[in-house]
Amino acid sequence: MISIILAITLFLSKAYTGLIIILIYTLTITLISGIDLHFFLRSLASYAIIILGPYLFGFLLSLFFSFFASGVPLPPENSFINVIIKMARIFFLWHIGSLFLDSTPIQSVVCFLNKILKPLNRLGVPVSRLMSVIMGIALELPETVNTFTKIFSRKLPLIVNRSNLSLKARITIISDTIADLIIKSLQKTEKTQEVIEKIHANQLNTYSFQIHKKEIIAIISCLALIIVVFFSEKPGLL
Amino acid sequence: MHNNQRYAVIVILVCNAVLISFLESLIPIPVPGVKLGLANIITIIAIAYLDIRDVMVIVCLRCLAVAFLSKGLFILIFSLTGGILSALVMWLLYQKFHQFFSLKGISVAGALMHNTAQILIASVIVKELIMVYYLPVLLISAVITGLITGHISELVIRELERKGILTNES
Repeated sequence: MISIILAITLFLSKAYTGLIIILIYTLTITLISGIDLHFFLRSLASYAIIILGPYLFGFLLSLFFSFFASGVPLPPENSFINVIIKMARIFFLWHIGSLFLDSTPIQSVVCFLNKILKPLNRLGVPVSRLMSVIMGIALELPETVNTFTKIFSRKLPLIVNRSNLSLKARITIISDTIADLIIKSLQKTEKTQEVIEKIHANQLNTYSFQIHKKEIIAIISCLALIIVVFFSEKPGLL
Repeated sequence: MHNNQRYAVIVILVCNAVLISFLESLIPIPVPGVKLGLANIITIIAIAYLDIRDVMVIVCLRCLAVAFLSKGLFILIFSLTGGILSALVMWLLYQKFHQFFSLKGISVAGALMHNTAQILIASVIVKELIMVYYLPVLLISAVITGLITGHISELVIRELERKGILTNES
């Protein structure tokens, strides 16, 4: 919930001071939560690959077209400092999203969604069934990984021990591995069916809303942040 | 196919798609934003054997599971939009224009749609159209990766048909 509030505050904040306060707060909660540097770096890497790289490519190209080709300077909203601030703002939104998923166990989300979306069952949407499927995925995934490990350990020597293999042959081995994995998994349909049945009967109704002392402190700190950001952006109200 | 059996097949296909997505992240591609899209194989298998509703459930659950496991909320927005649109395009081509397109062609169309959606979403997030300059890079890569995933899908479907898996049940 705090991640959601934080993301909304960051999205609505327009002044630099508000932005800096939110960034400091986000970094502080990242450190306090005991999240290691790798998590932060992973967020940064995925952001760089998906957003930053293509954006910089487009930015440099538009810079080239507008400045070198037609001699027109870039509009002020595209100045370097504005671009850096914009990219930083989007990255922190990205990072807050990652924090949200990291701090929320999938079982809690599924059970919570099942509870709040239950009325949709009456409209013919099989919400509970879909939630059992999601829980089934969480339980079946380790089994799929085991199956894959067995198949892969058998196929790996085919690639590693033959360095003169053509690309087509390598793709064929990979396809065989994937095909084997899918076929072996699909042969266990009945077992998976039983797992889903058990989940549907037992596990989805166990969710109960609980709030701990630490979470109350976190919510208070988040509300304090909103007030500080609000007054930093509108100092005349003080 | 019985309802419970259908859900079991969905669970299995999603698990496979999630695993393939993670394996794919181990294959480094030096171009930013470019992915092999091997999980697309599962979408193509689903299109070939299940109805559109189940295909969409598989795509959505796969995106959710990958987002949860990789802790990327924004990745969810990208993969969900790209996944749903490419699945729709591939389903349409497979169902209505099957005689004109091979599985490789359908896979390329899906990859083109996925990458276009990805760049449009990035443009919406950044609120600037300059991201579109990167589209040609992504479209060229989509043709190559689409051909690879299409080729693998053909091999997998041929093997499934040979062993009579899913065909008897659908």
